[in-house]
Amino acid sequence: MSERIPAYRLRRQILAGLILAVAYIIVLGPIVFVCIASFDYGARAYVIFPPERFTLESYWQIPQRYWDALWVSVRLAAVTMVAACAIGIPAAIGVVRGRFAGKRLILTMFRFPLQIPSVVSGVAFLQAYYAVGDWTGWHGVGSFAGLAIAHTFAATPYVVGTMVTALQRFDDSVEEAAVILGASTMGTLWQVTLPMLRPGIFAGALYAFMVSFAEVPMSVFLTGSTLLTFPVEVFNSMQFDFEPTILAISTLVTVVSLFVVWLVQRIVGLDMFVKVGAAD
Amino acid sequence: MKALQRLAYALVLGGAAMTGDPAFAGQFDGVTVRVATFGGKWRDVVAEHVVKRFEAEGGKVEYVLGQPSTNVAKLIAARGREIPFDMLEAMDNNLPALKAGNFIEPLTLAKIPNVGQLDKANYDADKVMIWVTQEGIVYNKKAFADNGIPVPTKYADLTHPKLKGKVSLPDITAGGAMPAIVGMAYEGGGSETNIDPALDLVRKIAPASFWSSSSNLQTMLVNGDVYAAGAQAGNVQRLRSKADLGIVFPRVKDKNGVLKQGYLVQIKGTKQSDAVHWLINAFLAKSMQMAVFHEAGQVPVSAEALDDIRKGGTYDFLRLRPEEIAGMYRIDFTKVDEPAYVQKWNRRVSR
Repeated sequence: MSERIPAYRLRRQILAGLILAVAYIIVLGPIVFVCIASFDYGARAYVIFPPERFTLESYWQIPQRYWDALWVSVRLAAVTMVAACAIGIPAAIGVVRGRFAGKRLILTMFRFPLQIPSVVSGVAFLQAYYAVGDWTGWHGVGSFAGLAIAHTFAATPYVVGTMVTALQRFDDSVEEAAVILGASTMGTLWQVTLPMLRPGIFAGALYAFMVSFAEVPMSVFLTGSTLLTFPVEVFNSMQFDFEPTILAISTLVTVVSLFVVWLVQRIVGLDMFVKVGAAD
Repeated sequence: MKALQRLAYALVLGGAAMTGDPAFAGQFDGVTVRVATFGGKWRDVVAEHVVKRFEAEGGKVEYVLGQPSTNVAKLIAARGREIPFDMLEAMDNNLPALKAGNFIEPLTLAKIPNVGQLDKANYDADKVMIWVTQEGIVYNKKAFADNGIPVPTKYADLTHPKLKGKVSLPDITAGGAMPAIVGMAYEGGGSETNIDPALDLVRKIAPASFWSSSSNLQTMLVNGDVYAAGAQAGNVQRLRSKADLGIVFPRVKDKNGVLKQGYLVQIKGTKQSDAVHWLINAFLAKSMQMAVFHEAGQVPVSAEALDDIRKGGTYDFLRLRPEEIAGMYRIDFTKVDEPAYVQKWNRRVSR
């Protein structure tokens, strides 16, 4: 005889399902809207939904400047990810494991970039780069390195945040066991500590990549005549007029992002984000 | 033989003069000019109708893209150092900051012969106007007729009960904000120095939304989410095939409607002054001025372009005669305290 689900449990399941459905609609709705609307094309200044016809014309007409800007953003995000991890991982290990006064203060300082509006950071970097240019002859405004430094400033707190969370949940006894069994300090770090921290590292790296890729307020001030990031290029286009090709390139970026998420799931599993938690 | 040579030189010079370019081909070999201007489609228009011709003269243009206010911020940050660009496309509201910061290099108008096509009020030694937008109330004729709403003649008409939830006004950050705010201020007895009547009217209108970009507004107008909006006439032109829109220009002081103006200025410290003058002249050439209208949706300022547009199509919703354009209000931005107005807006126009 089959068991009947109790009524209260059924109600809870239905309610949970409804809440989940609403959450999915809110989160995914705009993305689905953009994807569907991208399959229409015409010389117009507004979005048509639902599309009046189905065509890939928007995709064929994507201007070269969007591809160039996308490539700049991908490279910049990759460099930012590496730099933010190179700074954030050792910093987090040092802050969590270290025994010194002012640990909380140092951790708070690492979160400062999150508290400062990005526009303010952008103007500050603009001024700083001009001052540095006067002093050293190196001009950061409009340079890849200048953008990378600014993006690393914005992304490092996310790496520090995920790593601190991962370290606070770390079981020290595993490291102690490795040391007791004869492993060197560096050997323990490379073969025990970092592999166990891998979910946190991946999470922090992915956040850093996403933060850099989507960054607009600072980049608006720091991009130059020959160096434009993808979000800034799209932002500048949208400020003046609407182009249907924006929908097409955005859909392509979404598809690639979904592929990356799938890849992450295959490599480390997405549940690491739940374990590690958000950056702040 | 010498006479023949002289004749040949004269023919070459005469031919060059007739092209309308006050210079010879190839004269800008190795010259790069940094132009601060809008991105997106506008850049394409500039590239097609101005930069291509400059490149044919051997020159090269590097774009510094962004809103004028962002580019002005870059200029301020670079004060006392190498300038970030040689030429800036600015709007009327940027001029006081540029003047106060001593960023403008005066122009030699003799090197810009196409200014002869402009009304004298549209240029001076510091700046040359290249386009205007005509700001008023854009409305959906069919929606108004179907719902029995009288055609608005002033901003206060947007408080009509049947327009509740069907009006959009520009957000304080939008380019069309100041024209609408100043227009509403004058309507309520205020001015550029007193926008309180405008903020009161905005609260009374209780718009359904505050648009921040033209594409955002145009989507709402086409979808019927909005029947009326404080916006510029270019929206009527761009959406003609999709919606039957009209525009009214409310009384502002002793004028009708408000003009928003786009200018080109030469930046102090530029080493490419000749090239900058050449480019400004090219912006005023007929092909670019016609492109300003047909491709970018703004109103040109060149007399021959305006004349062609009047003759070429039905644009009765636009002010295309010089006396009509002169009858539109120009905001005195020296009296406008934008940062203070933004704060007032944020405090009093809650969203």
